[in-house]
Amino acid sequence: MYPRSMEDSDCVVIMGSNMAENHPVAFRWPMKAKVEHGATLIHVDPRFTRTSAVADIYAPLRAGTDIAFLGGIIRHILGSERWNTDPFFRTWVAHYTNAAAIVADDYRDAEDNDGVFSGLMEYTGGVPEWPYNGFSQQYDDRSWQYRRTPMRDQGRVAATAQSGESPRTPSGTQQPAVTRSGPPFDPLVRSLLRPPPERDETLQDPRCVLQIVRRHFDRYTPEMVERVTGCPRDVFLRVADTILANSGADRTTSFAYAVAWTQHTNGPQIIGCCALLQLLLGNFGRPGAGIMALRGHASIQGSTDVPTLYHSIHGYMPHPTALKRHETLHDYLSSETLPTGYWANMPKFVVSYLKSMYGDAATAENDFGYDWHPRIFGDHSHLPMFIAMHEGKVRGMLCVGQNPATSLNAKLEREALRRLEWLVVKDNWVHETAHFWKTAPEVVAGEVKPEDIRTEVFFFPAAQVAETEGTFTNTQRLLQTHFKAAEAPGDCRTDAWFTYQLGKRLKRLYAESQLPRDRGIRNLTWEYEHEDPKERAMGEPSALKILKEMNGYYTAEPDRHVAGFADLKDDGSTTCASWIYSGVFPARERNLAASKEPDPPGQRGAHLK
Amino acid sequence: MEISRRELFRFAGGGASALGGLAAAGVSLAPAAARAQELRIATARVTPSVCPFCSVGCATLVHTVNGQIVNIEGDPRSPHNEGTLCPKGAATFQLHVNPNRPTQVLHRAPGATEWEVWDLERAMDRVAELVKQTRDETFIERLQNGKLVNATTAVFSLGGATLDIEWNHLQQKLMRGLGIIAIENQARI
Repeated sequence: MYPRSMEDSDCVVIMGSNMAENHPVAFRWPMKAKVEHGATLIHVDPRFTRTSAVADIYAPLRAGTDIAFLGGIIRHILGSERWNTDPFFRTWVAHYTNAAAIVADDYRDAEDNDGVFSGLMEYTGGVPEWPYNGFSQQYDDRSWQYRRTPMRDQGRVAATAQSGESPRTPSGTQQPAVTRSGPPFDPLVRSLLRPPPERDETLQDPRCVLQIVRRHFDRYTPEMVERVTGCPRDVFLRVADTILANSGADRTTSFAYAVAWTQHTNGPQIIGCCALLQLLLGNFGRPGAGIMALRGHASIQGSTDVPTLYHSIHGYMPHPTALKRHETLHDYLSSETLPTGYWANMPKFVVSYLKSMYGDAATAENDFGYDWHPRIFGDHSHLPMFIAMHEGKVRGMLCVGQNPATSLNAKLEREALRRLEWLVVKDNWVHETAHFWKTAPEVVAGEVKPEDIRTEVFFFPAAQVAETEGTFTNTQRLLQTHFKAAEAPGDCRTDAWFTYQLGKRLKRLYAESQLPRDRGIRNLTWEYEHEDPKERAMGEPSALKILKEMNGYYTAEPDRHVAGFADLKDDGSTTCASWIYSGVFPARERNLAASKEPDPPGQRGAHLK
Repeated sequence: MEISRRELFRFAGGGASALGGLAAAGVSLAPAAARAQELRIATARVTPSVCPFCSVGCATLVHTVNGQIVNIEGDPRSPHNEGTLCPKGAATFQLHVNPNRPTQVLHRAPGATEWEVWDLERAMDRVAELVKQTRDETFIERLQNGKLVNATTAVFSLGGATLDIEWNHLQQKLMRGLGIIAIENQARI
């Protein structure tokens, strides 16, 4: 959601955020809605903060009871006269949600299944090489599928045969006979299509989604909400009634949340609950409607889209893993492609991504270098990595713009750092992680001697934002270029400089290797020399070349950028690292992230054209 | 608007907030403020930038005189902030021009009790050597179950969430190119 569109809301619910203090510049939009348009501002939070102080309703709750609060609103709304009689809600849920879809008979709700949904998996412990598996208590969603009418489309079977695959068995499970690689992958995608779900347009079938939702939330009575959340019943009911009164054909309610939702262990479930509520109320895709995720850092959205996160490759494609059927490119695409919606184009995104990795070396014959790409084999996220480091299984660390010595379970993380052979810190300041061997509380207290810490530590000072040309992706996924205004002092360098120069050195060190395991790094394309001679002499990579690689271009004509992700192909003729950013730089002289055109008066958002 | 001397003191409440007090009282300071601004950035070059703190994406203008940053303020053209900044964003200048800012590469040898200043190139060469050595000694081509992985978990890359997408792209590309799969970011936590 665009923060500024909160100005159009008739009611703004801020929950799990102290927006007034932590996103003050965006907070002016809900304030404007309140002060100038008479909107109601609601703050639901365990603490009475500056956000509460200006809210019309402040609803206190016990930390972590957000689902009970939201669930209570859902129940209250589903049971209200207005929701059941206003044709707007009925039309909305029937046409813009899956409320009418019928769920297959093997699905069992928590109420009927001893407190858990059907499909809860046993913890299996992972592979011996990486016994850290954070995915305990994961659900297998096979029992959560829609009931589907058996396939009648004979043309689809023919297309499947063409791709070298067996058609689906009547049970719907896939049995590929030949794992032949594409391209083209269109027949593969078509073979994954399943018949549409059965529907009950009257929304009365007990197995339709709406009825399952009704039954599931039936337990969230006002008494239960009061008991669990500690929020007085009258306050809770006022919140629920205000949200309902400010939703409908001519009114919208928006929600805003921040890390006080996401940092709960059940964060995704809280957010899912809010999404369900907003869907029931028709609060999506309309002015002043939606859910505002207030992210905390300048480009935290960017580092999720361009994933310096182990589990995904560019644009939310799952990282190839040894724990699933991902042996070949064909296997990966068969397992991960969603055949409906825009994700049906995933083969084009993956092949274009592999071309961005391995360039000319990636060909249809070698699955575009898919085998050179590493596979994950467990949970390699922040906390398991520190536990593995603590057990001596991690030898080196590159730490750029982070200070883990003061964060989660900090003592354990500092103990882990002491077991590293080497640590590289690149930051604005010589912080606690950089000199953990010197100023850690354990060292100051004399429990640990620096002489006994064998870690080799490097500190590289960073260039600041105004000394760097680059792009941030803000909370609403707007890409904005910041330009270089001044030279960084001394040995301060940009973060991109560091990685580019490290990569150049490693490329040289592996240049002569004939080992199969080094093919990935040998074939990795790594040419980002700056257009400007002075910057080139400094070794600074070209931000524009990097952005171009993310945007994508025609492989045979590198100067011709793709105009957007609709141009991508699955045969290697397009090179594009990040399909989701394709279109930001649609032509050589047209970097849209660098646009500084203001909106004309009264035409909000027009600059984004 | 007429203000008595007594009222002026009440509004001012102290030297530092005198101007804010006057502005709050409805006294227009526009000519004086414009004059002061003109003096400070009269000869400055203006470069558009973005605030590096939260995710709202407030646009800023960076003023430089002879290549030195003299001022950073909100960009009035931005639809996000329309020229405004929060106190943190307004202090971005101090990230750049700050006497405590480290500008040298530091190295701490195993067991050492002090930092040593190192040459940048030497440090980069040594880091590349360590990355290669660790990767090569810990590389797993296949798991015991025979599955191809071409990866190592012995090197951990952890990044912040205020870094450019250009860095994110290069970092994940280089790490995955090498087979380093433990790539994480502040965005997780």
